[in-house]
Amino acid sequence: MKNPRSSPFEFAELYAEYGQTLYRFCYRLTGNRTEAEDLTQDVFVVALRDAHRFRGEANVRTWLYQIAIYQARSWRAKRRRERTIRTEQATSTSGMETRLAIEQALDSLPPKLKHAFLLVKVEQFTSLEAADILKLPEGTVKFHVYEAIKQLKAFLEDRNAIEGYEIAPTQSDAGVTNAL
Amino acid sequence: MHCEQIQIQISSANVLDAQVEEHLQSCANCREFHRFSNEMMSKVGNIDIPAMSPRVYEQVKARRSKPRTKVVEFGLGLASVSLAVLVIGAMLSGGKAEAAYRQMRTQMTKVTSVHMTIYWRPGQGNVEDGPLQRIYDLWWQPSAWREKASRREGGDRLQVAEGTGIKFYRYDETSKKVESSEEANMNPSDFSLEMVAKQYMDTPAKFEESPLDDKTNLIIAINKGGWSRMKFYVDPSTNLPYKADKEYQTNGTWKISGHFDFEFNRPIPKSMFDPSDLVPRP
Repeated sequence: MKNPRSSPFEFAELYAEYGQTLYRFCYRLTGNRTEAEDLTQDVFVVALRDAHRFRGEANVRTWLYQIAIYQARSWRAKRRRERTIRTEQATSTSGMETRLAIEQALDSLPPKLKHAFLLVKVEQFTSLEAADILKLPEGTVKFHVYEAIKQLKAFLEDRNAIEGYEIAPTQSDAGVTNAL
Repeated sequence: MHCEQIQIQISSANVLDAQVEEHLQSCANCREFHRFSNEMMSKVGNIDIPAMSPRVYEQVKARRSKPRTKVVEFGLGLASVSLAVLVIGAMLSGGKAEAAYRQMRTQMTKVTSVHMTIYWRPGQGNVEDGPLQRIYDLWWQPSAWREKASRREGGDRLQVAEGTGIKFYRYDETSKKVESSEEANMNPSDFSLEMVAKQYMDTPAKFEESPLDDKTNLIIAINKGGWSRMKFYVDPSTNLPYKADKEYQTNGTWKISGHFDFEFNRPIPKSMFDPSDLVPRP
C-alpha cells in the first residue's frame, strides 16, 4: 500500500493479514456475526476504493481501523432503532451468562467510550495510536478508556454478572468497599 | 497524584510506572480498579467469536469489481418522470464516449494474459517536477499473478490458486529462501479494468472519446470531482488499451502522475509462475 497500486497483491495480502482481526473487532463493536461480516466487507471495500489516498503517514493497520471506526459510526446511526429493540429483549432474559453480560455491558457503553476501550484494551493500540484512529487528543482517549472501565464496572456490579466477581473487602479495604 | 489520575494512567498504560506502583501498594480502591481493568481486558478479549464466513472475501471481491450504477438505478426509479430526463442524463454521462469506455472494459475481462508495467513519480500524489519511475511489473494469467518490484514497493512475489485457496510466495532475504503462506477460501483476482482504474469506475462522472490517429482512439475518464482523470490509448482493432496515463489537475493544468503500459494475450513464460524464479540470480 505504498502507492496507489493496481495490484491484486494488495487486496489478497491485506485481507489475509487483517481480515480476521478486523472481523473480530467489528464483532465486538456490533455483537452480531452478520453485522460484523457486513462491516468487515465495508471496511475492505472502502480501503480498496481509497487505496490511492493512502499516503503512508499512518501504518496500514491504523488506517484500516480508522475506516472501521468511521464505518461503525455510520452503521450505528442506521441501526440505532433495531439495536435498542434487541438490547431490550436480551436484558429481559433471566440467568445471563458471563458472555452475555459482558456483551451487554459493552453494548451499554456510549460509542466513543466503547471505541476507545476496545482499541486500547483489546486491540492493544497505544493511547497515541488510538488517538490517531479516533481523531481525538491522546488525553481524551485515556479519559474515555478510564470512563469505559468505570461504566463497565458499574453495569456489571448492578447485575452481579461476572462469575466469581465479587467485591471482597479485606481488613485494610474496609470502609472503601462502597466507593467501588 | 489523586486516585482518578492514577486510574486514568492504569486504564491506558501497558506498563505501570513507579509512582503508580507505589500508590497501588497503599490504595485498595485503585488496586481493585487495576484488577477489574485487567479482568475486563481479558474477558472481552476472550469472548468466543463465531468464525467469519468465507463468503465475505468473495463479496468484497464482487463489490470491488462491480461498477456503481446508482445513476442508472436512480433514472429507472424515476421512469415516470419522462424520457427527457434520461436523455439529459445520457448526455451528461458521456453517451458514445461512455459506450467506448465500457466496450474497452468488456474486452479487458476477456483477455487470456496480461503484462502491465507501472510508472509513478517518487512521492505518491506529487505531481510536481520529477521523472516517472518504473515502479513495478505485473503478469497475470488465470489463477496466478506475478509481481516484480523494488523491495520498498513490496519486492518480487507470486500468488497462485491452490486447492480452495491462494498460496503466496516471496523470497526472504534473511533466510535466503522462498517462503510461502496459504490462505484458505480465497481465489486470486481476475484481471479487470477496475484493477487499473477503480477510483474512476467508482465515480465516473464524464467520458470523452476521440480518434487520435488511424491506429489510436483516445478515451478519457474523468472522476466525479473533476480533479483527476485517466487517459486510455486504445487500439481500435482490439478495443484494448496499449497504454494509459493517470493525470491530476493543478492550477488548471493536467499533469501526469502515473503511466501504464499494457501487453495483452501474449504468451508468458511458465517460469514466471514458478516459485523458484523468485530466487535472485547472481
